[in-house]
Amino acid sequence: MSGLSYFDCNVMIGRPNSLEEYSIYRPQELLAVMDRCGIEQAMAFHVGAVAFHPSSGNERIVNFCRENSRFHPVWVVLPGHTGEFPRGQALADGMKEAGVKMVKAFPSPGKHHFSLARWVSGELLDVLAGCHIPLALDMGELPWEQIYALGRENPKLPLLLTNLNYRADRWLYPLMEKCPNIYLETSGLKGFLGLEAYCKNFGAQRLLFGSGLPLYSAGAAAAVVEMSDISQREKEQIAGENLRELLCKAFR
Amino acid sequence: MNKPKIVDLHGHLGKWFNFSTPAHTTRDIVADMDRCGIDKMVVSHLSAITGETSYGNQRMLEEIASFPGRLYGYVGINPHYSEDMREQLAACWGKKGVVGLKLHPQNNSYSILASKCQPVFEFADKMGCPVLAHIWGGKEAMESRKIALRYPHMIFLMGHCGGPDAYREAVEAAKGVPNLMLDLTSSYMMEGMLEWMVDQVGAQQILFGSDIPFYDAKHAVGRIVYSRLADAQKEKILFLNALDILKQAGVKL
Repeated sequence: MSGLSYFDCNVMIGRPNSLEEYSIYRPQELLAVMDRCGIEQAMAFHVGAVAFHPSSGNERIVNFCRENSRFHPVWVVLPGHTGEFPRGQALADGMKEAGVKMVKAFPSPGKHHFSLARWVSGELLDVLAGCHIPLALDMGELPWEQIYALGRENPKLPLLLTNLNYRADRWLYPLMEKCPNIYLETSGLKGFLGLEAYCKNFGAQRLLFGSGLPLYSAGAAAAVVEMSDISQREKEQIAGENLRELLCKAFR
Repeated sequence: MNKPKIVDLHGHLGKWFNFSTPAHTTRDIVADMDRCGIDKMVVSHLSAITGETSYGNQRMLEEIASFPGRLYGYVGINPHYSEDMREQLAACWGKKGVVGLKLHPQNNSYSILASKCQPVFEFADKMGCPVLAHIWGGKEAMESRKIALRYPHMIFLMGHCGGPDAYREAVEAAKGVPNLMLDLTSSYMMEGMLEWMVDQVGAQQILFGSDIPFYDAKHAVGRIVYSRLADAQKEKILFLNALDILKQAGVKL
């Protein structure tokens, strides 16, 4: 065994709209996979916050995490103009009370259909930055140009890019160079010796272990850290220390 | 995780146009094989899956000669060029370490059912050698079944199991066709899919594949090693099935 204990920044809870023959979704199935792969704890959002509405899904993930101590709640956020989602101090207070130290957004037209540009989401982004709450975004939720703008225009907001893929380096390298507030979740960094290259070029401190469970193979995600040609210290940072460090800054 | 023993029947050499490969030299590849426990890898050169087969196949011969017993080669054939089959085989077949043929129907826009592909399969059937084909989509997966049934002495490796949206068709295609092998090479590694596939067709028809240097081998290793499969099933997928194919192709192990 590697001796690594993973803190996963990318897990989903709940029943998605459709299943494949092999899909897992029950919490006990998820925990069995986590145990097998050495994943001790996980940041989790509720699928209901994406496929139904954040207001109910966010409440459900907080309740789930209260009953399942290995999971920590991730809220799915919206800008608050329409009255569907808290804004300003109410949002900050709500997250603090619920123990939410990371959020995720799904702004693409097929999902929550909004913009993360400042004229739409500036107030939301300022609350998150002010509370030091990282914002996670799946690849494909925003065009690359808008991710760049988001990173540059909100330099105090930690941005975590999740569910990446191996074909994106020609976008990711300049983003990492120009936006020091951008972090990468590791499950999709599948390029040949790709994790090693990111460590060398940008430092292990900007890489956070994630699995993409229950959709993606947690064993694949664990092995890429465990078997990589980087130091044990870098592996430990990626496996969980970096995430803990980010979360420690919340509300401070 | 203990370092497993692995034989990889899906590797490449060279760079690619569409995205950056952080590392790509043959030395990088062999060093990573050592790290991951990959004892042997069969590779095609990436230029040999374009129109420029000759350039790629020559590079393949040079590179595998540098790592005998570790690297073996596929001859890339582009069936659009009627002379390719004759010329590439004349240049490469029989050379030390060359064990099979490589086709990329998607990149080169043809169907494996096309008449121009049949000489490739006839040759492979006569030699009892593997043909690794990039297969993408349900229709292509079912075409693989037809080809494997038509040429029963050839071993047809269905690259990528048809891709993430065609796994059902790939599994259906392989049922009852022992010379049709499901190659796990994939950038989309879904939780639980491997166990489901083994349940459907058995571990004896499934192969480890890395796709180095398109992507890293470590994900592919972890997907299998950390799965719920029994050790005997993992061993078949990681190396025993591949060793059988290499033996049938005449490799002395």
